[in-house]
Amino acid sequence: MKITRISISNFRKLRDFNLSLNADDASQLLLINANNGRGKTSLLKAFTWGLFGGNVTTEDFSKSKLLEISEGDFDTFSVEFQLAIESTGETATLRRAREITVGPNGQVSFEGKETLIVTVAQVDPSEPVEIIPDPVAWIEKHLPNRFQEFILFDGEKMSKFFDANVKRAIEKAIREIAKIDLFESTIDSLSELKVRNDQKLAKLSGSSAIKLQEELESKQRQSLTLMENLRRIKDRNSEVKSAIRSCEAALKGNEEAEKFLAQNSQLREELAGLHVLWRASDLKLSKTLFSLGIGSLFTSRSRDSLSGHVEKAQRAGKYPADFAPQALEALIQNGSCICGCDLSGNPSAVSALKKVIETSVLAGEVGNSLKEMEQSVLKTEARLQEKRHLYKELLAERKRLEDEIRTRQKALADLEPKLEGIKGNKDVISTAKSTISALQRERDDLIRSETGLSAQLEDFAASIVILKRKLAKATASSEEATRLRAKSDYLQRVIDQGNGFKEEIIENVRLKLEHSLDNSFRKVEGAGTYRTVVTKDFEVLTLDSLDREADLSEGQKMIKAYMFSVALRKVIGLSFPLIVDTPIGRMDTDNVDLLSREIMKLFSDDKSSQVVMMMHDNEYTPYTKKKFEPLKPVEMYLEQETEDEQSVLKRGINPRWLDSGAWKDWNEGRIR
Amino acid sequence: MKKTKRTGFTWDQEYKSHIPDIEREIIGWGERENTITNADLFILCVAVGFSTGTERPVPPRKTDSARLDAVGFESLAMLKVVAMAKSDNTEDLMDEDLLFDRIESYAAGGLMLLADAVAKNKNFKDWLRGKLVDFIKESNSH
Repeated sequence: MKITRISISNFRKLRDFNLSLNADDASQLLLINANNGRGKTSLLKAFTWGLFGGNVTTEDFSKSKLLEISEGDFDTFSVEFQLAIESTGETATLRRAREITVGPNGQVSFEGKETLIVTVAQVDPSEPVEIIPDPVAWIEKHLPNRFQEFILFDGEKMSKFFDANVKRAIEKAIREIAKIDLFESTIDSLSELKVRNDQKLAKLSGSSAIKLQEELESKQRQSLTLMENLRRIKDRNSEVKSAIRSCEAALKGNEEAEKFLAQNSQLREELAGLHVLWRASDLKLSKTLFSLGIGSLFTSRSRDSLSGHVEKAQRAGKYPADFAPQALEALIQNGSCICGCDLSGNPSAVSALKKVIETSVLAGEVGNSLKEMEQSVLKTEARLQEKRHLYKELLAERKRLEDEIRTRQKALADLEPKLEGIKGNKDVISTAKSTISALQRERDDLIRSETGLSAQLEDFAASIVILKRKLAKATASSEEATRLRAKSDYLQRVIDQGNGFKEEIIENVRLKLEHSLDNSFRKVEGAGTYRTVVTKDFEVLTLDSLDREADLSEGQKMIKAYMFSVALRKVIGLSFPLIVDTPIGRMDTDNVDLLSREIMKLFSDDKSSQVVMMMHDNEYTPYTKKKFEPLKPVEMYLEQETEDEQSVLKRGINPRWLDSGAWKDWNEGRIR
Repeated sequence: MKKTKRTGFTWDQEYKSHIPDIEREIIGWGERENTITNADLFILCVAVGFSTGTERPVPPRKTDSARLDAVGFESLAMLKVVAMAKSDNTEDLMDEDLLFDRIESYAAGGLMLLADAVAKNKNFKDWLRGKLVDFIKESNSH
C-alpha cells in the first residue's frame, strides 16, 4: 500500500496542503524536509488523526483561517489520503473531517460528529466508485489501529523503542495478526454456553447442586480476577525490568565516572563516620581532661599545705591516735583508771581524767578531719593516676582519627579535578542510580505480590477441582441430567482445545516474527553473531553468543526498531507505509548509511512498501542526501511563505538552504 | 567542731547571669552525659579561682549553686583541702562555714574569670582545655 495523495485542509499550520504523487514519482521514499516550526509536527499529527482518528480539539483548527470566519459561520478541517492498494489494484480514498463553528466572542466549538468516508475505485475506471458502508472496519482491516505504533514512528525515540513499553503493543500486534480476538470471542461464547448448561444441570439436581454450582461460578470469577491481577503485576514487572535496563544502559560508558563518584561518596561517607568518631573521642577527652585537670590542680597545689597541717597537728598531739573516749568514760564510771588503779572516792582524779578526755576528743576532731582529708587526697590521686593513662590513650586515639581524616581529605582533594571533569555525567549517573534503586524496590514488591497471588491462585484451582467433584456427585442421574452432563463435557473439551490452539497460533506468529527479525538483524553490521528473540512475554531481546543481552549501539537500536516494523509487515502480509518523524536524529553517518541500505532491502523485497521521512534542516544535509540518493527519493520541503503561519509543500530542496553552509557548497559543486 | 547549717553553695550574683554561656560550652564534660551539673560547674569555678588566687568577697548566703549532697563527700573533702591551702591555722578546720566561705570566694573569683573568658574567646573550649592541660603539667612538675 502506498500513499499517492494527501490533502490537508485547515489543520493547524497546514491550511491548504496538497501532495500528489503521479506516475513519475515511482520512488517509494518520500523525504519531507522542513526547518523547525514549519509544520512538520502538524503533518505528523494530520497523519495520525487522518489514518487512525483520535483526539483533536478546536485548537487544531488553522489559526489563520479562523480569523477569516465570521461569528455564526461554519468551516471544516480535514485530512484526505489516496492509497494505492497494489494487491487488488484498487485505489482507496479516505477522508476524515470535523466541522467547527464560531460563536459569540469568537468562541470556537465543534459542530456535529467527526465524519469518515472511505471510497474504493476499482482498476477498471468504468466501474463505479464504491462507498464503503463501514469505513472504520475498512480502515481496521487495512491499517489496523493496533499497528499504529509500527506505522508512525518518532525517530527521536527509536533508539529507546525496545526499552520503552512496547511489549503490550507487540502482543496486540501479534494478536491482531493471529486474529486471536475472534478466536477468543468464540471460546468465550462456548464458555458461556457451558455455564448455562451447568446451571440447567444443577437446577435439575436440586438445591445442594445449585448451591455448589453458584459457589463454583463465584470461585471461577474470583480466579479470573486474580489471574487478571497477576497478569497486570507481571506486565508491570516487565515494564520495571525494561526501565531498569534503560537506566543501566544510561550508566554504560560512565564506568570511570561512576568509579570516581563511588570513591567520592565512599570517602565522604568514611569522613562523616570519622568525624562522628572524632567528636565522640574529643568529648571523652574533654571529660577526662576536666576531672584530671581540676583534680591535678587541687592535689598538687594543696599537697604541701596539707602535709604541713598534719605535721603541725602531730606536733600538737592533735593527729588522731587510737582513742576511745566512750570506753574510758565507762571505766571511770565503774571507778577504774586505764592503769588499773581504783578511782572510787577520788572525785578530783575523776574530774581531771574527764577534762583530759574532753580535750582529746576536740584534738581528735582536728586530727580526724585531717585524716579524712589525707585519705580523700590519696583516693583522688589514685584515681587521677588512672585518668592520666586514659588521657594519654584518648590523646593518641584522637591523633589517629585526625591522621585518618587528613588522609581522606587529601584523597578527596586529589579526586576533585577528576570529578570536575565528569560534572555533566554526575546528574545522569545519580538520577539513573536513584531510579534503579527505586525500581529495584518496586520489583521486589512486585515479586512478593506475584508469589502471593500465584499461591492464592493455586488454592483457588484446588478448591475449584474439589467443588467440581462435589458437584458431579450432587447432580441427578436422570436421562436429562446425563444428556446435559455429556453436553457440558463436550463443551469443556472444545474450550480446552480452543485454548490450546490459541496458544499455538500465537506461538506460531511469534516465531515467524522472531525468525524474520532475527534474519534481518543478523545482517546489520556488527550484529552477525547476535540472536534476536521475541520472548513468550513479547519482549524483543538481542542476545550475544553467551545469551546475555547484547550491548547495541544507538544506531543498531534504531535499525532494530525499523526492522521490527518491517518484519511485522512481512509476517502480516500487508504493506502499509512507514512514516517516521526525525528518522535520523543523532545517528552517525555509518548508521545513516546502514539505514539507507536497510530501506533499500525493504524496497527490493516488497515493491509496494513506502517510507515517508520527515527531517529537519539539521538532519537533511547534502551528506544525508548522498546516502539516500540510490533510493531515488522524492524530495519536498515545507515552507512558510506568508506571515499568517500557514505552511505550503514544495518540491525539491528549500532554496533558502542553498544560500549557506554545506548546502551552498553542494549547490556550487564543492560537495559531490 | 562548728558544723555548717548550710545545705548548698552560693553563686556570686554579679556574674551568675554568665553561667548559661559557660554551661553551653562545656556540656558533657562533667560526670553526666549531655549536660553539666551545678556541682561540676562550681568545682570548675573553684579550680579557676584557686589556680589564679582570685577570690571575691563571699556573697550573701543563698543556696542557688551546688547542693552539698550533690557535691559529694569526697569532693567536699577535696574542696576543704583547697580551703586550707593558704591557711596557717590548722584549727580553721573546726569551722566548716569558714572553709565554705573561702571555697565560695574562690568560686566567685573563678566564675568572674570564666565569664570574662567566655565573652572574649571565640574558642572558649580550647582556652579552657589549655588551662586544664596547664594544671596537669603543673601537677607533673611537682
